[in-house]
Amino acid sequence: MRLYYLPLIILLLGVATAVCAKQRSHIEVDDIESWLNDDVYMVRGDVTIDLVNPILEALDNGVNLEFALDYEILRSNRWWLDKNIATVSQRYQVSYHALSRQYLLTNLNTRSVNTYYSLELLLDDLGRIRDFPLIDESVLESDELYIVRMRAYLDYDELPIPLRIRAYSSASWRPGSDWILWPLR
Amino acid sequence: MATTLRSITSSFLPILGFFLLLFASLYLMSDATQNSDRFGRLYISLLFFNSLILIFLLVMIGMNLFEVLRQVFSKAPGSRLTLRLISLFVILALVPVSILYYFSFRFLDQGIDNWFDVRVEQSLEDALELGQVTLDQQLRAYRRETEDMIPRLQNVSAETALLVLNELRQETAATELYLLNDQSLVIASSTETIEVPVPPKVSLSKMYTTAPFEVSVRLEPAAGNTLNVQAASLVPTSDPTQKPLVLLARYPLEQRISELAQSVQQSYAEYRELTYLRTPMKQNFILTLSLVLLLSVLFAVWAAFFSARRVMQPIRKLAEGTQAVAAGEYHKKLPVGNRDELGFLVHSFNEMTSRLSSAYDEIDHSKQIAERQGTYLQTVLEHISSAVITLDGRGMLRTANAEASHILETSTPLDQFEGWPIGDIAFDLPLFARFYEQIRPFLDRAQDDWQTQISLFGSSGRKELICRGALLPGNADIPGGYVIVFDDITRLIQAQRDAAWGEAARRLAHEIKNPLTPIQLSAERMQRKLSKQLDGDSADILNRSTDTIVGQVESMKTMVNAFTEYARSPTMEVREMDLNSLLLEVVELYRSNPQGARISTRLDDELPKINADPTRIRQLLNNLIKNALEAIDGIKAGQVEISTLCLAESGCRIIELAISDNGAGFTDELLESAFEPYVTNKARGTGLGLAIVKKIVEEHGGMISAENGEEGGAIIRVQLPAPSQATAITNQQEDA
Repeated sequence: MRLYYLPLIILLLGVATAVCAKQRSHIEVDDIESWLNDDVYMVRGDVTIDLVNPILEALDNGVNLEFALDYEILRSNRWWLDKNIATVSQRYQVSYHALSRQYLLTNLNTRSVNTYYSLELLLDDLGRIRDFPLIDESVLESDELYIVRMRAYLDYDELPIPLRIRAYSSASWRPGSDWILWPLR
Repeated sequence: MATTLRSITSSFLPILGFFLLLFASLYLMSDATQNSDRFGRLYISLLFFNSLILIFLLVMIGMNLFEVLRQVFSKAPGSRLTLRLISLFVILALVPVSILYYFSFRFLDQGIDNWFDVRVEQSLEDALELGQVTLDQQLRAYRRETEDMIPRLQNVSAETALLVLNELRQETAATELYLLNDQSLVIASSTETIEVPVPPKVSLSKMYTTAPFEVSVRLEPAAGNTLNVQAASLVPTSDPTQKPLVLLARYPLEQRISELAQSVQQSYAEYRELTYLRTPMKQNFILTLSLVLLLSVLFAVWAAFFSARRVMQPIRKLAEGTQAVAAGEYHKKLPVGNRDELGFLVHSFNEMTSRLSSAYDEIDHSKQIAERQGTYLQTVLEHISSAVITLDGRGMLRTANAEASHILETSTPLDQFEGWPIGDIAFDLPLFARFYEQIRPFLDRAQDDWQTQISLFGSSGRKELICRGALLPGNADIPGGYVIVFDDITRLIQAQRDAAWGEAARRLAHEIKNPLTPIQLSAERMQRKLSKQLDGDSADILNRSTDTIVGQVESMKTMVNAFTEYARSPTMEVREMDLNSLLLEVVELYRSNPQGARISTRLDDELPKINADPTRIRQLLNNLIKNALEAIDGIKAGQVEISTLCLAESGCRIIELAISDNGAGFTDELLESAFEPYVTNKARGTGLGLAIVKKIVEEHGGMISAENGEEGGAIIRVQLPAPSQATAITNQQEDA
């Protein structure tokens, strides 16, 4: 008799899960590609970074966030695990500057700082990968097949220690995309 | 693994090492909790590591607790004391730590809240606002300056742009000026420094949407903790085909203002962050505190187990040692540990056991000596030809050697009756009973050092025993008892008697018999020579006298022959024979006797055959019947009764032959020595008749006794041994 309610319960659970997932910060690689330009492989792509509480709250309260865009170039191996040839990591720090009421985006690789009046603009900028030089063609061997994999994530190891324990215990503090793979050509 | 763990947990150094590791780990974690740069990255690893230690400690404590409880339930020595000590240590460790934990918790919970003050927060916000207001004024000033630049840059050519920019820079406070086209490419720039600065990044698309000539100004936090002011504006052109250029200008803030503003910003940001992180930080501190205290407590508990076991170890060893000694393990030695009081106790225990063991060894040695002496005595007793019986003070049998059992013909060896009252043994064994009956008067009198001769009738006939007894030394509590030594002297007596009579016979033959023949010859010659010369009366006298001499000499010869017969060493020809049939044969010869007596027989049909010399038994019967007939000489209606009987009491191993008459019987005097040679109450006779009978009886291992019948007359009883059934069968087989 109770089974009558079962589909309803499943539906409600599904909705609740969807709502919970919606409420969580998330990072997603929308599309990404690479091409050869003057002996250098360049990358172009778009990453959507959607931040909600509690990460947003932490940022507004002066906590610096560190994002990483990790690229790994693997040499494909048919019989064994692919071999990692090179790892490139682009790291960005996002902080709020209360005095100027702006958000700062610091490229930790180049130490260059950009300021934004809104976080959306900043995140758009952060997620927009344009003509990023990945690797020299000379490093690679011509007769091998190479694969690039990439992911973007919030590096929770850089959070202040009190938050780090929360990050370890709660997924809502660990937004990050899956690895995206594509062949390097 | 358990043994490894135990070995780790039972020695001191690993524990110390473990403690130092734990301490270092806790120190690092407490340092990391402070958000320090040094160990901040290790925090999570440390947390994980310490959690592992926590689990390890819990497992160790669990194992220890299990072990202790197991020992308590199995009642191992010292386990209860160990449990009590552990409980005491744990309570001693737990109480102060719990108090400390409670107050630290309170302090953390409330103390951290106390760091944050509403007034401080307000003043920081005010300072921030003040900074913003101040900077806004500065911004407005720079906006005006930039607005003033725009007209001079209108319609400037690419070639002159650099000059104009340089001029403008020198005229105004700007440090950097850039002119960009719509592709964000720098057309011209003027900077103070030689190095090529990066132009500020502006969103051109956004800029083109704003109203022309409007200058946007904003603060630009730059690297090196400085603040710049950045101004941007479109520069309109008169040529409608050309897109307007973009002017970017950077103005420095005054050093002091920049510093102050940044300081305010930084303080505000840090305070906001702290306020925001207050709750997680508190939780973090409490987590660290709890972990530190929990680990300390667990370590203390473990240390309690460790130290309790260490303290208890010598006591437990002592308890085990005491149990071992109680169980008779006198050689138990304990390892001497420390030089404290417990060590002294262990030392004393070892001394005690060594003394105990040496005393025990001494006792053991003495016992062995006693056993050896006992064995020696036993061997001597078993191998001497005399029988030895000892009794204790209460008349119980203590020892009896094999010879005693042999002589007394006991079916069971006498030593198996050890500890029995001698009277009870006598009850079972008939020969022993008769033996006991005869020595009993001496025992009852507790006479010291006595000697007696005892006659017993054994399975192989009469036995003569010489028996000596002596009191054994006793003490006040226990009387000494008796030692009784006896020998079978039957054969000895027989040999002595034979030798004595043999000698007597030799002498008689020599001394008496030799003169008889000359006497007889002389008398016969005298009669022959003189009877012719003498007349009637004298001749008669001579004839009568010489006849008398000859007759007496003849009779003397008979007597000497009889005596020789008695003394002659027997050459027995023993064979199996039927006593009854021999008896009937002999009796038949006496049916018609000069005394006119009636001879009646009463024979036992069940009588077994005996091993005897028939010739001598015939002589025995002749002598006995003759003796009986002589006893009733001159009595009217004389009667002789001869009977044979198998004595049931001996298991038919003794047969009895009895001859009774209705004569005068024996006088008391005669009764005692009836069977000695030359004892007779008759006018005629050699006095050797019954002596020869006795000799024959003794030669056959039998006994003879004389008594007077209840209704007068004499009874002579001869007891002869019958071979046992087994012996009889063996003999038959041999015959076959």
